[in-house]
Amino acid sequence: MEIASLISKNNTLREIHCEQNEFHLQGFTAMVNAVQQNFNITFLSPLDRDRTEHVRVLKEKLFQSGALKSSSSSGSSSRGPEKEKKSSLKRHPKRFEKRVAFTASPDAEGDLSVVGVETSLHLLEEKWLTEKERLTGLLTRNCLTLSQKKRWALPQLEF
Amino acid sequence: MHSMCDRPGTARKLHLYIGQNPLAQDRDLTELVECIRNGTTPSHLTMRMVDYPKEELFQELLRALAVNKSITFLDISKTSLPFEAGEQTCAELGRMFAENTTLREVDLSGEQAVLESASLGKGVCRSLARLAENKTLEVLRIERECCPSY
Repeated sequence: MEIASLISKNNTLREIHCEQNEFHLQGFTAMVNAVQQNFNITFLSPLDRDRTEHVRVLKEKLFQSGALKSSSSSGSSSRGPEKEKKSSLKRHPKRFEKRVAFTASPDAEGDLSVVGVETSLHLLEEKWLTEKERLTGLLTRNCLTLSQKKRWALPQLEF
Repeated sequence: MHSMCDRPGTARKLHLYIGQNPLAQDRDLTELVECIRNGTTPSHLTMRMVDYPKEELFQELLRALAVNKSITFLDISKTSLPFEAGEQTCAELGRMFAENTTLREVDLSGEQAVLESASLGKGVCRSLARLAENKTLEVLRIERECCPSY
């Protein structure tokens, strides 16, 4: 969150390159929210590698944890679509070693099914991509704003 | 380095690359630090992939950079310390961010390869807070330093 705090307080920085610092979705979201209030930043790393790594590590932990049940998931899949749409961002610190900002849709016994895990990982990746798109829009806004300022700042020629 | 000035007090627009050298091997950076403190350096300085056998040497360098008035581009990426940067080093780094008024671009990236890793550690993220006091820096590179954010 230090970089998000920096973006919100510093008005001279134009570019911040911070790839591969083990950022999670929460941190990235905080940075994008900070860029919303900062009209000077023209580049912030999209964190593509951090996103890939985050999803990969989470997938490994979930599939290795042994918390998955093989399908009696037929029960969960029948009410799957509605339940999956309602998946929200919650933490389960007791279940996972790293804090993560999402939860899978549990079946009746509270355990995770393979389908639920895959769906949640897909949702997580979608959230990342949504934030990345938002960031792109904000950086474009800042570039346009700064180029307009430069244009208006040009000295007027007298003939 | 001090012979590279065109005029005293004015930095020459030159990029000096002295990275990947055993600069601190003799455990004495006095002359280099003195040049930086006095501002008799070119405008662009790259000192990447330098090993510091003692953390105090790196702290001396940071103290000199805090008062330097000639360097606008600084690359001290892939710096290797004996251990992760301690509190004093992070404090000096924060002071450099807060007090330096000429740096436009800084590269503090680390390295996380299979056979080699060079990083200042998680403490460098704490020093970023003092960048809020900086009014000149425009480009910051801080990749692969493992500043975890949840």
